[in-house]
Amino acid sequence: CTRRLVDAMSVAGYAADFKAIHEACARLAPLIHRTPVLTSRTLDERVGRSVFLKAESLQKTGAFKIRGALNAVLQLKESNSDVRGVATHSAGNHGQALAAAARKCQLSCTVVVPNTAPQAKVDAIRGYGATVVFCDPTPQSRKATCERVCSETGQVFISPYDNNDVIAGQGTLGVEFIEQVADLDAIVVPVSGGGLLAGVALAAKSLKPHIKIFAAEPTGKDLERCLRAGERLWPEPPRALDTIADGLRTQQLGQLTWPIAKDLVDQTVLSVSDAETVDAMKFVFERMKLVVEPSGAVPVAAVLSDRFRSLSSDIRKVGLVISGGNVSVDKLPWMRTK
Amino acid sequence: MSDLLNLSDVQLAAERISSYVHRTPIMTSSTLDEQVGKHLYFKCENFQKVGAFKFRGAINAVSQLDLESRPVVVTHSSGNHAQALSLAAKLKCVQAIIVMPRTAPHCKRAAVLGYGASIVSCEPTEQSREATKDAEIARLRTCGRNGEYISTSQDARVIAGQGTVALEMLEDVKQLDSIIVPVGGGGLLGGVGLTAKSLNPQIKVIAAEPVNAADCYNSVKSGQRQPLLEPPQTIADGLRVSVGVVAWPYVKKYVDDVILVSEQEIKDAMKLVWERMKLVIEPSAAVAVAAALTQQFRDQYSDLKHVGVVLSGGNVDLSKLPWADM
Repeated sequence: CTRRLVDAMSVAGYAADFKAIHEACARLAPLIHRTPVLTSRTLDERVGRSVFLKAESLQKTGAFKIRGALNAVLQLKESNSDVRGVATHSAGNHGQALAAAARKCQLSCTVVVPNTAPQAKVDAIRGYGATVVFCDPTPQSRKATCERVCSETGQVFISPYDNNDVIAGQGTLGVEFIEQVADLDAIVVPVSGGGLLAGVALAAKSLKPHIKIFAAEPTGKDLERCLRAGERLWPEPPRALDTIADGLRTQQLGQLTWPIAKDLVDQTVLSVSDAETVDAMKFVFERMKLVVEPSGAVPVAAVLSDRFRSLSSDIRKVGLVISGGNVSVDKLPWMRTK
Repeated sequence: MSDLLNLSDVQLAAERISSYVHRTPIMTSSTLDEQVGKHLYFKCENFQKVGAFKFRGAINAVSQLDLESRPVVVTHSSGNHAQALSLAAKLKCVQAIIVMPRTAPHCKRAAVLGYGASIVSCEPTEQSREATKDAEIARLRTCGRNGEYISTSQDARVIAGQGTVALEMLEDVKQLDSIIVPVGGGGLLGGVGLTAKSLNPQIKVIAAEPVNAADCYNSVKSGQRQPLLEPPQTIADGLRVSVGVVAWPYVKKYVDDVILVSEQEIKDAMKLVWERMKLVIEPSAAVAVAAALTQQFRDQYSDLKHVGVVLSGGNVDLSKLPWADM
């Protein structure tokens, strides 16, 4: 059964495979942090299971995105020594990561950013030496503005999630997590375009075919309905979600990430509200002493939900991907006055 | 001076407490390294049980009690030591009584009660704290119970426990040439100083202190213990006590220097660590970071290249962050 699943995965024609992820591990190892896994007695008691938090908030550039960005830029440079630079559209963390990766590889970089992005993220992108171009906060505007930038500059577009090397790069997180925590029964992954979800699912299922991969989403993404139907049911044109989790505003999964999610991700999707996300964020600050951004707290909110509690007690050890910590400490959600 | 602890006391403490404490990680930051032109190694005691290094000293002390005599541990503290002692007592199935000012914030009372300890309230004065603590121990005696006072820092068992921080740091980072430690009562500073100098006599042990609470600085410079006469005004709420009688000999013997930092420097350092390292640290911990960031440290110690910094704790009131608009 194990053999058949792995074989099936390799012929499925997914954007990435375990070989690509494995090679990415070696490629990235000298350049990124092997982030720690932290635990909390209090969280275990509240969830009723053993919970393991992979602290990607402690990753270079403050989020997991550097894995995919670096892998893509390194591969691009390797295959095309003439490449001038790279460009992307991003609400923040991918933009920052790409800027950092480009600087590391001595390439120019432009990032198209929605004009609603947090100032901290815009400043960080510029801090890594990239050029910022603003667009409207719609998927169409992001895409169109980015296409214009690429044709004007000759920079190569690196998608935040629909890119083989980006997906493989994110997959390295799954490999590490499984190496760090023996006998994980499940991994909960926050989902936006699906790069992290797809990469981690590919890596984890290759190593442990029976592991369950749960997507954690902000309310309104409606991923479960799509997974159960086996079809992309999202409305067109693509929408942005209204959520405090600013890294998870893309409603639809990507063209490359969807097929992987459809096959490998559990059809039960954990949906969380803004209020639950903020509570979880506060919990992580107070109990785990980690600065985490709302998107990064979504998996914590997910396992605290009634839905998760009602899942099989066979799920004894669950890993959470704490995806990032890029949040302005001047504007923490519980500090806001209404 | 033969009464002083030695390295083997700290090594024994390490064995005694190892199954109870987290061996906390050391984190680095290329951003902060660039800022100071040195390699900084941050010992993350904010990840320790109860969110502060205090748990080490507490569990080392409680673990040495004669459990047969059914002791009751008593202390006065509203801060990290209160929580630390409460958890240590719970783990060893020992009753704990925490004397706390009636003005202590609700969350601190709740934390202690959550660990199963009892609270006895006192007035928010030094005199009342001491008197109430003494009264509790006397009361226990009349009930035929053995009340054991475990001070927040003026206790050899506690100091030995805190010293285990340095054991771990030096095991993990063999090239450390210095350690910066925040100082209040001197328990952590004394324990770390003793341990580090015993393992490497060349290592520099540097205390970091708020300029608004500069008793350690004055004491080290004069060679005489000079406790503060008034409660100090500093955001570093864990460092408002003066170096005590029991800790002082270790401070005097093992500490090379004391760097003072302003309130603004403490707040800036705290924010920097939150933003750049994504670590929640409390103001008292930020005092050590602030010291590492001073021009004084860079100028005076240009030869030091591998600097350990103890992030002593991460217990903050999220609704009252220093940089928030009031």
